[in-house]
Amino acid sequence: MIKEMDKYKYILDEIGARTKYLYFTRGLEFQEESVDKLDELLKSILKEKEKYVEEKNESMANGLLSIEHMILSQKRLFEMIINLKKDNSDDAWTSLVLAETHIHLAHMAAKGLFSVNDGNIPQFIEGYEKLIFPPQVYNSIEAIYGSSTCSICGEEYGKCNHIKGRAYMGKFCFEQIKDIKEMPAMAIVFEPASKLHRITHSSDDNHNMRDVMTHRISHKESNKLKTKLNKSK
Amino acid sequence: MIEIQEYIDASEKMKKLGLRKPEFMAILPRNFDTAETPDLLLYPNEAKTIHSLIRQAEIDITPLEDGILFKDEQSFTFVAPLILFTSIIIAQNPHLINITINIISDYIYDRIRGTRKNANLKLEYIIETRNGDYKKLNYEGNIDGLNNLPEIIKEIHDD
Repeated sequence: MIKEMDKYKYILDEIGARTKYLYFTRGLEFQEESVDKLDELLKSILKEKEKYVEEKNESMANGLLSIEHMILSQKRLFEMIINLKKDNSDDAWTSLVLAETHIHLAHMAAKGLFSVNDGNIPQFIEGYEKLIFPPQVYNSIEAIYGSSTCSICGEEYGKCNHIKGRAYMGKFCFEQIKDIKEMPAMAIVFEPASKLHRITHSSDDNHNMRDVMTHRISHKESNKLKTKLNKSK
Repeated sequence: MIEIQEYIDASEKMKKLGLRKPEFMAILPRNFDTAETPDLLLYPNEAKTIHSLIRQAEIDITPLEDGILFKDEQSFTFVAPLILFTSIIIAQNPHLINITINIISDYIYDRIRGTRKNANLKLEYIIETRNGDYKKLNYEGNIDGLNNLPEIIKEIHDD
């Protein structure tokens, strides 16, 4: 690890210490308090990162970007548990998917600088995904586009030297698609690019639309489906 | 899974579609063998990234053709760009093929960094043999299986 990063070790220690509250059975009050504490840490790390960006210290800016996403990942996991305890399973799923995205980004920002001790967050994510949520099916949309630009320099993506997913001076590069020409197909997939694009309802034998997470009947959707089926008879 | 197939006369097809013939290597549009006219050609969306990574490694790669559209399939499976290796690069600089394949495998590894996913990938390479014919190498599997590809490409070229 870069020597200068040592002064932020207390944040990683704090994240490590809070791992004990990532078990579902822990008290809701500890999990809610953890979200508040992580928010505080996030504010301070963002301020520090800005300082390094101004100094054009890319290693430190990217190192703190990694810590930023470590904090966000754990925060999202706590939000997932809180949402589950409050019966908000859709939001819980979103938090889980974002937790996984943030831990990936924490590793990407640290690439070439230090190896991330992720406090077993990927194991928690995998465990919750497999044991708490029912299996999901996803949508995938194909898009045909003409040009795209780089989020770092604004040039045509691919002509510059920035690579999407990599960190540059405390920011990630992403490819901004500019002109979508057509969306020729939509597929149902089990391994999507994004697990946020999931099928949220399915119909049962009585044409009731049921929420995939809760299995509750969604009345509005069911009525629409029944009207459609009656009309087609 | 590795599969080797006969391929169309890529040189002739490039001429027909008005594409530059590469000296060493090029990324070809995904539907290069089936597209009848240039306006139907499509690059996969990872073409720009892979091209940029290869270019930054100072490997001589023909620029992507202007005016060809890109297709984003939004699947977790990594659909790599179709890369053509000419007989010159295979015969004279085979180490550049190793480097190219390493660049691709590093990039795929980055996509799963920090997650517990296995990256599934589909790769297709067009190989110009020493006789001037073209063969297609299809690979489907995980990253570890990529290690053997440079040797297989050399064998296909020499056959």
